[in-house]
Amino acid sequence: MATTYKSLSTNDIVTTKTLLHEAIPITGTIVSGTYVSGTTERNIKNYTHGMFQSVYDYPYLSSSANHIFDIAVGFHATSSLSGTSVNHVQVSKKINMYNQMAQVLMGYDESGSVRRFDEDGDLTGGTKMNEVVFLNFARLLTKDEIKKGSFQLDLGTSASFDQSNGVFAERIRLADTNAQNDYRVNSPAGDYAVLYADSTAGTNLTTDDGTQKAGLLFYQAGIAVVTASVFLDAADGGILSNSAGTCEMNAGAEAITDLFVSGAISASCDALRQRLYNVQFNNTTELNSTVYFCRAHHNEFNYSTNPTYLSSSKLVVKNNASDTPVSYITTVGLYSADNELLAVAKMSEPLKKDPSNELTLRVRLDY
Amino acid sequence: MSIYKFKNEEVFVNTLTLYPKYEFVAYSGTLYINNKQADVGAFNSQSLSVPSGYISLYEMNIDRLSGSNDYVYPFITKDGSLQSFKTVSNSQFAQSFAHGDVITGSYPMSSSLYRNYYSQSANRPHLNALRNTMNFYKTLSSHYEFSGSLGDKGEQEANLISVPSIFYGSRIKKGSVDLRFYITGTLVGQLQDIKRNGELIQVAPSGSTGSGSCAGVVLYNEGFMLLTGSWELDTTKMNYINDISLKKSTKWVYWGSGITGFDNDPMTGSHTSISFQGETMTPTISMYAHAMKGELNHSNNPTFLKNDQQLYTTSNIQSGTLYLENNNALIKNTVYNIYDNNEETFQKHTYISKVVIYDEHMNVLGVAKVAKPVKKTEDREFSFKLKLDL
Repeated sequence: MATTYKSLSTNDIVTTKTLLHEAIPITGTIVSGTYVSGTTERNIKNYTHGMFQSVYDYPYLSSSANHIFDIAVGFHATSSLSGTSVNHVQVSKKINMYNQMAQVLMGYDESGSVRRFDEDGDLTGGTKMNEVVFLNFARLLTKDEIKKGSFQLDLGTSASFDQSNGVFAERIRLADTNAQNDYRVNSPAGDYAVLYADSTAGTNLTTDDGTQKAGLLFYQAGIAVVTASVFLDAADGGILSNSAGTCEMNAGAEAITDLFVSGAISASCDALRQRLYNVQFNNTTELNSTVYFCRAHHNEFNYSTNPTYLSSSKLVVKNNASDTPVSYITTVGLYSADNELLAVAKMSEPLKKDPSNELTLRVRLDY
Repeated sequence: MSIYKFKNEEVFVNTLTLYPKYEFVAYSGTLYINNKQADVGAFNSQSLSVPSGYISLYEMNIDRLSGSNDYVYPFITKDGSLQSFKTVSNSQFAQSFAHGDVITGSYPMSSSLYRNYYSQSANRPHLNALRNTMNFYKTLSSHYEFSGSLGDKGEQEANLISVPSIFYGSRIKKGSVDLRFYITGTLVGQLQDIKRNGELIQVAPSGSTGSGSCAGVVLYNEGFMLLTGSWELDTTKMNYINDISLKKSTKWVYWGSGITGFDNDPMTGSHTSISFQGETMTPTISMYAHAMKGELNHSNNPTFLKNDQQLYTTSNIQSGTLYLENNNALIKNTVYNIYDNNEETFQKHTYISKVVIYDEHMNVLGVAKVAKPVKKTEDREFSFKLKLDL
């Protein structure tokens, strides 16, 4: 118990913020193909509500499995894919999914309508993304946020469908290039940036110079919104070149637009997973620290009120009356203004303190 | 929705003490936790990416392998905050990294039992570090005394088993430790703290050499077991001290072959096991939310009213439109009756489906839902017990 308190001045307190990152690689083989048992993928969880699909890094019945992301698809009510015929499956769910994600990520406009996902984040106009795929990464992976400029999503864009990796002969990479210097702040869900597509295997984009916009990445929310046009050629309204051709998304050779119409959400998710080659990003955890510089000047903290300090009313650390007083500092207590003990810092070994030395003890509090 | 303030007697803060049990078996150079074999993954033969007998902390890298399915790893950029990883020493941090350099760590972090075997007079820094702690407990038993009439633990042959706290929590439960020594499947020795004072006393096999004797002590709060029993449990000689020319007969000081820390060749014909219970303290808060007689019998849910009834009505009393609560709205009578075309006497029925906890600023702190809505009539009263682990 201290009997001597020393007030910390503003010069003695420093607050710092450190960013701890983790590199998160997600190989496409985990997402599709590795944990297949018969026709069931044991690390993919579908729900009775059918609105999204969860992907785990291991068969989800194992207690070791971690949820890594959810996939969902959706389109806006004004999309040409919307309709009411018998061929249209889960239309309201797909529209609801789009609206739900859009209202959280893009917010509302002046008229109270949900804003649509914008290709370049400029909400005053421009091209809107009406048919999209959502990749909602787990908080376990994204932590506080995805590190800007670190996200890469590689997709197989070979035209023909082939389950033996043939879809990956041609690939594009969606990346938030230069996002650390160029990101948007006009979303209610935090910062976001544009995902740009570039070819990584084959030359398969109409605009193949890394400036092709293909989606949005929301950093704090940990959500990638990818336009369905990444699997369509220019003739079908997509970003792939006509020579590359529109991708066949399943064994039925359906384009993604057809699948969005006639397939359930889970079927579109399955098709997307089979085209997912790799995902890579770095996450960020903010570590806030306050450093208290506790300064013991030469004429301070040289005595102790510890009972062991005295023997027969003499200081036991002194041999002669003329010896300088000595104490051993073992602990620093941080007290509130009304002298309530808030935190204790212990030394690995006691520090000798006498009038001939001065000590500065750096106490760091992480939170 | 009605709002009530919790009274002091309706909120209880308790501590829930749990006793998680662990069992380790060391057999043929391999340690097994709770008799589980390693789970084989598609990429890694150990899906947790840690050896058998270890637990993976955080379990981030499940079924990953460098080269095919790379590991998640942490990194930090050296900056003015001087933050780094524990695995980087101060001198490394100062000399090996410039500001702006990336310092990397690795996952998974793992944990398991650790064993130190000390031959007679061998240097024993780990054990010497426990001298004060051992002596602190000598009031419980003289077997704790580091150096005394029962031997000098700084000199004698000794076997120190360290249990990381992740396996037991606050402390090991007193009397729960059970060590066994088997030779070719036959139990040749069993130690338990039958007196609950930390002495590990040989309790089986009945009548065996050393039965009833103390073979070591347990430091329950610190998670150590020190075995010094040096009587022969079995005369079969084995390579217990990693010297094929110096095989030893079975004794407690050789217990635990296969546990990390002391390397000796895997051996068959001898295996050991340990089980213990930990103690974990979980603070809990229990709150009682009472639905008293005559209260919570009205709902603002539109379905509470009869069909075509409006909770609010518009009026043209003033210029413009006024929203006014409809005093004459009829409530639907939901009293069950078994007869056709017959309505029972009206009673107000509500169905309580959830209890919500608010703070003083009316922020929702938590929502408790009941499995099935509870029917609340004017003459019924309920108490909902809400329990939350802190």
